Amino acid sequence: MNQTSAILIVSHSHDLALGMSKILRSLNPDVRIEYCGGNNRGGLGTDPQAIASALQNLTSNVTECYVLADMGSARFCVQEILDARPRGGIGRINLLTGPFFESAIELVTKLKANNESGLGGIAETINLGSEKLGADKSQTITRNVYLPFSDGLHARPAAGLVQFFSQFDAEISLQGVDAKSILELLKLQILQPQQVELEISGTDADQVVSGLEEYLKQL
Amino acid sequence: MMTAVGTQEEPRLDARWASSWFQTCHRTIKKNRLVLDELDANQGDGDHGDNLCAGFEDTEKRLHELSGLSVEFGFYDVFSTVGMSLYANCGGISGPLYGSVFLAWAELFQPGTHESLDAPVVCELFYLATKNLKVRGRVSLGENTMLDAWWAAYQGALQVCIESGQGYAALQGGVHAVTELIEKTRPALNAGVYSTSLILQSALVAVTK
Repeated sequence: MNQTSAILIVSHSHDLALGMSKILRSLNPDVRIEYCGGNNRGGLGTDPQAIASALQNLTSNVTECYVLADMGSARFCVQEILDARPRGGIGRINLLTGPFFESAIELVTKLKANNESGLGGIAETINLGSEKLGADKSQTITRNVYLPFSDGLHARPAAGLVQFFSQFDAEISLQGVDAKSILELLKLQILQPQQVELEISGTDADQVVSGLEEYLKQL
Repeated sequence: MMTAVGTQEEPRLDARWASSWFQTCHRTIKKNRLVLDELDANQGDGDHGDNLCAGFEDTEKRLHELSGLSVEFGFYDVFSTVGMSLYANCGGISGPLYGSVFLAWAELFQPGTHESLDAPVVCELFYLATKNLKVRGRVSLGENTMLDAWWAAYQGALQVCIESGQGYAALQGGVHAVTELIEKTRPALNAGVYSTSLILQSALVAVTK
């Protein structure tokens, strides 16, 4: 039998992970079930290295992998590892975010019915490789602003500007770099007063624009 | 990378200092282990002190080995050693969280370079911590997490930078801001906020050695 789907169970407890994998295997002997349980000292906890190598091993052998993590650091570690993986060349990995045990039962039963397309109904499945956190781009404002710093944007004025920008939630880029990062601003090597382009996205984008005007005026 | 020659009185924040900083962390955290556990018990499973202690014990060992090598090492080596070590040995969520912060710091430096930290770089380290915690920890400012502590440090360091201070002063400014935050939130002090302040205080302790 050519296995294309696998399930990885990650639990704080070795016994829980083992018990659950036994139940899942009994329900669907055709799906490959692996587990990581406990920390690397045999106690309750999470072992990031074991999870990483289990995922590595699975994704090189199957085309589709589902991960179930019980809580807290187990879930966090899986997300971390998936985020850190280079994209492309690996099979699909889904971290199921629904109830730990129930999602697993439903998953194996549905896989047995060979009804993978129906998975969306099981739990909110997220493909972490493509998950992007950030401000809503639909509220993007672009502005050209004149920076009046007579000696250019060196450490002192850059720190002031960064301090100003960092009061806001909005994502702000100045000449294409992160305006809340002092090093990024310094790397622009702005050596004299000049016009720069700002791109501001977020719900408080308007406040950034009006606040900046005030800020630059009182310098 | 930015380099700045400190004034005579100003201690240099070089890679040896960074290594000593994170070795000092083990002692500081160990001393406060029970306090951290107690603080964590109010909001979590009461093992923040134990987890960090196990993590930094391994960190100290690895950095000690690194310092013993005959080859020169830089910030990249120190921060990536610390990050990997906490990642693998510090349980709970705090291991991967702190681990990812220090790994992000390492990325700021070219392997094998030996510059010392100036004020903007100190600011940037704190900024990277906040950026990383927002994404990795999926938290926002004001939720009484370690993110708030790193944010306070960032703002404190920026203020020093605005006043033309050097790297060491920026570090002091950051630590001072976190101490103020702790005084303000004391009745509901978060374990992650407190451990962050202990880690940052260790940076100052390491300077005087």
